[in-house]
Amino acid sequence: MDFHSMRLFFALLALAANAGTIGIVVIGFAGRTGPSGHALRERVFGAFRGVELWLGFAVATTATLGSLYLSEIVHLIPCTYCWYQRIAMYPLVVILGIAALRKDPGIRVYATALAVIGAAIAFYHRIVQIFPEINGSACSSSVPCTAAYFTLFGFITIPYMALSGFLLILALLYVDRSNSDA
Amino acid sequence: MTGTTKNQQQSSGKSRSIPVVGIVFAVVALLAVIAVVFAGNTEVGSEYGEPQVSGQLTPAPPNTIADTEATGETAPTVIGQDFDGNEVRIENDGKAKAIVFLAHWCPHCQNEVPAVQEWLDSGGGVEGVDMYSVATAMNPTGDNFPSSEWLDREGWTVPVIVDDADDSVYRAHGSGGFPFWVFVHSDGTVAVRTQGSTPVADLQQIMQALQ
Repeated sequence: MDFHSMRLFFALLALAANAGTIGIVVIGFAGRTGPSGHALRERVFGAFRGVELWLGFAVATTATLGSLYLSEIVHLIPCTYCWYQRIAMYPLVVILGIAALRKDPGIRVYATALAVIGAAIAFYHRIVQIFPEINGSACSSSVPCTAAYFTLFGFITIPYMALSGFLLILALLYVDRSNSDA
Repeated sequence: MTGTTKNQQQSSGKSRSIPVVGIVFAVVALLAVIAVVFAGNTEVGSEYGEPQVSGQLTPAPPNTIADTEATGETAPTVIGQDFDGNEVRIENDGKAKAIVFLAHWCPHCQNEVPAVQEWLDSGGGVEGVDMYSVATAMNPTGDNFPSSEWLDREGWTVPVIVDDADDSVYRAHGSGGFPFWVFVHSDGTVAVRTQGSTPVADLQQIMQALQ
């Protein structure tokens, strides 16, 4: 796959992640609306039982490999905010992977903290791209955080992809908690 | 460990009606196929120029809006071409100059260009000061590429020199933050450089102060 295919693939993955996140949130809310909603949540979330952390690990791994592809193969140099997002995302591969192997529900609180921090930075980064005045008035000649390397479908940039990954991980951690409460 | 046992019992006890992992793999594979099929041939050619540059200014200090580091240095001479291949020269011709370095992907440049053009269209500009622009830091996979279409779209009337792949013209002037302005006195010495969005009122003031 060439770069144009890869970045389209990443953008589609981000959209799929958004769909998954929204689906999980909607079904989570539906679970509180009465017996039939509760049954739906049990059925859908139940299908994730045992693989929630593995899926979270898969999302973190995809995001990590994707970011390494963009920086090491396509040579898009990460800006400062990109690095902060990497700092939040990369450990998730390790801790979610180990927790999935060991079936350790205790990981949720640590992973949630990392994912919330990462999501917040990614969200801020995306906002800075839309409103560059927030972050000063000049694009540094080296690696400005204000300028997107590319924009697909008019709104999907690299931090948007990162945000999508963090939110899906949070959603999967929520499913994991919901399933272990049941 | 009790939680583990509980999980295992529940997962083996209930029939897993929705094959989540299978669906995830299928969706990812489908998206990969879609990406390959629909990315299409979006190869974009580059549009670098072949400017000849002589001279070098002090590198612009980072994080400075206006800097005077290069004040008094002799501005580089540039013999380059615009997007149509016409020769454009920035040389010591006895006239004061304002030179702006523009990067197509930089949102501040994207805002600066229409602001400056509007000023020029409404009779702006400063008598006796020639304006030049340099399309630089071009990235064929970046946003708002190519520069030529962007500047055409904005109706940009300032003469353009197209920089090369090494950004030679930009580097010779000290590689400041975009948009990067270099103001030159009529004797060919640098008056001041500004980095980042510079309001038209400030441009006018600086240009009027050129000797």
